Amino acid sequence: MYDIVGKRNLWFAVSAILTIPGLLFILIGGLKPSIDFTGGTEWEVRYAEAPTSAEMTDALSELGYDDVVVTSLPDDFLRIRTEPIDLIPPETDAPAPSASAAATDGASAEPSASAEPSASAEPSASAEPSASAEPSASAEPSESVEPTPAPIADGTEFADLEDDLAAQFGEGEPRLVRTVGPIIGADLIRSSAVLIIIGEIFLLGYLWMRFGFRFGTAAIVALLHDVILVVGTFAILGFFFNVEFDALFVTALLTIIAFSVHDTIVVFDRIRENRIRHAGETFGAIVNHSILQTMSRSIITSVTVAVTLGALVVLGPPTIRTFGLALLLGVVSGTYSSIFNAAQILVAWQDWDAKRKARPART
Amino acid sequence: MTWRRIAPWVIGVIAIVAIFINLPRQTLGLEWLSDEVLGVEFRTVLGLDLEGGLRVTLEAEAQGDEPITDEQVATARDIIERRVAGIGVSEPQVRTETGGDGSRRIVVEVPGVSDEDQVRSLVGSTGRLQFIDPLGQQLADDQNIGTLLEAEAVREIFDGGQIDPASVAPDVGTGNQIGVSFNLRDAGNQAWCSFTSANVGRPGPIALDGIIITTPTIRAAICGGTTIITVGTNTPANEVERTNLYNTLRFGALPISLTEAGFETVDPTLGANFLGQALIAGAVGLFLVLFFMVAYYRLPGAVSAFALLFYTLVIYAIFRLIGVTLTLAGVAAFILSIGMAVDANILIFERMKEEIRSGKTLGPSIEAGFNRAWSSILDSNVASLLVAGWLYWQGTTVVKGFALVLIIGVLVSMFSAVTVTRTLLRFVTRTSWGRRLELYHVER
Repeated sequence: MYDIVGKRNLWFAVSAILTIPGLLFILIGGLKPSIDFTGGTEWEVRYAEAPTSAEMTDALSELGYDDVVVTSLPDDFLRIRTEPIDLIPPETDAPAPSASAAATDGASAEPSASAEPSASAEPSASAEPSASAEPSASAEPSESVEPTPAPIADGTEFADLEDDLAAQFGEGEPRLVRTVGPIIGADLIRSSAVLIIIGEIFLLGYLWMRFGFRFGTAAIVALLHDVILVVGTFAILGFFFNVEFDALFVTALLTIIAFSVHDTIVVFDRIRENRIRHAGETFGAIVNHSILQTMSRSIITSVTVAVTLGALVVLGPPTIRTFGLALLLGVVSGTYSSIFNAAQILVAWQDWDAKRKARPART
Repeated sequence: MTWRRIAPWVIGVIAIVAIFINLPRQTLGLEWLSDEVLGVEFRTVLGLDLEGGLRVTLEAEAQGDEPITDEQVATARDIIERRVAGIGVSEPQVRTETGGDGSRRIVVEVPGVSDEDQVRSLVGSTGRLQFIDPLGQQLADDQNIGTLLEAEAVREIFDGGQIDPASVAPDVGTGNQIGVSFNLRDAGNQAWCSFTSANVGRPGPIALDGIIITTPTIRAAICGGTTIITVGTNTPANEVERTNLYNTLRFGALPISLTEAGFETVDPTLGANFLGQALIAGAVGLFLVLFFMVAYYRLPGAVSAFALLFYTLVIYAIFRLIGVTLTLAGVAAFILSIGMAVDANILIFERMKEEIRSGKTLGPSIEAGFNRAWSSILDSNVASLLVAGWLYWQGTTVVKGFALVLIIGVLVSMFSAVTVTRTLLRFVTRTSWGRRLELYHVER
């Protein structure tokens, strides 16, 4: 019988090698947040003259947009990302008054308010002299103020920008426009962190309840391994290839958490069962049995999930490829960590515990 | 024992109902077949990213120190929905959201192509209506009184929230005069009464978003009852003016101020492309899993393949039945769930193989496989449900859609992978060929 448990220090070393580079890249800021988090405007467009991303960057710079990222996409499309532009501004702020008189159309009948003393009276029953002709707006040039321009009239900032670019590169054909204001971005960071942390606390509670303190803790350590591996990989990809993480990535992380625990539970459930059936054997041997017995199931489930996710990554729409990739990594890592981390931690813990108890007996 | 007998019938009925719900009526020329039963309509709802369209996110800001109430947000939502519907947009979706920091948002989604600037300016405008006491100032139409209000040179008597929306009606007065009539709530009535009593013959201007929209002259004290604002004689120009005034008084007054916090437009063609790609990916993934299960587990694999088809059918039927909005993330969750749905089967079959290897005969091995695997299936699925439930409870809209698909997926997969597979296997093992061990791919 193959001895997996005996080589546990090797597995811990492998996990360290897998996670530490990612951790380093997380710390040096390799993670590239998308506009979901930072706020910004991002759009995909192609122009008749098919400018390159460098040409587009220059053109935007000339128009006063310096902080831009332009990426080339298939079929001559460009993805352009800037600061948030074109959000309709808050309306409550009063503009500075100007000293021109408001032109009132004297010819049109001025409105008048009429009163109906009794609450039950029909509106039509009112008999007020309705030839209203009191021009209440008299010519008073002194203090009147020009009305605010409508927030969105013909030329929004974005529309102007589109026109300017079309003048240079020919007719534009936008297919996706997205603006995220800074408020939403900041809120997303907060709510994502809360979702992930509290989600894990729930799971820890459930695992403690069903499997006891030690198993629960080991499962959470394995889970952290998976999360760090996936986030770390995206930090590396972000550092070298500008791969961004977005709101969907947070969802992917939460799914990975669920899958990782799901996988660990299958192994732990078998350990729990074997402890009763093979009560005489050492804990290490029981864990080894259990791993080997569940191994084929773990691998096959990983394969079926990987196959569906692989199809999604290869054939699915580009916007969810990174999402699929994150899930794929997480699933493989989840299977690995259940066998080679979670179960091994249990054995290591047991060993350490036994030694600690043995020591006072000797002295 | 009884459940054993009933299960095949339950499965059959569910499958037939699911097929009935899923039938693509238009493609098959079955328009005569009802797609509505007991008032529940079956339809596939696509999200903005798959259907194309415009989404505007508005953040609510309280007026003054008062915190924003649920009721205010709901009222604003209703008003915006009517405004958008009013310009002839088909099936606008307006919903409220609470951000992680407790901020309130209103999200407007308009599917398909539309004049985005028109929609955005329409939903974004707060339309805060104020009845103004000019305090002796002469105010003209279209005049911005923001600075005057700040300097307290004019005074707000009450705001549009005091208008009873149900009472606003177009009014045809005597002598060919047209106007709009409305009633006020109690607090507004009192303020209006004391103001109009003191100002008969003088103007009582109304402002929308700090701009005077009309300056009617007060004819008499209005203490309770109906106020009528007369626009003028019944000419086409005045009729337009009356309609505008009516809309402003009826829908114009949002109880909260809204700031645009984000927007998104997706080209419908691009959305359709995405949907096509996602469906192909899903179909390929499903096929690969089916193929793998049959190749690896043989007869039980074929049975689980049937269970997986049942799963796919039922999931899609549930989506259509309760109107789950399918976004890209939701489709991704669905595809992921296909891979995970067979996990329970794999657990059971692996267990079954072990039991056969240990020397048991086929029948008891199958039963033991199901019984022993159950505790892992239950515990692992409860853990998934816990996470998905938490996501659904606390997540933003996109996350919620994903979580809902995951929850439905886990629940249905427990039924399909356990009950459906077990029932089918029992049928199969009654035949003599169904008991041939080589069909179970067990190496002794």
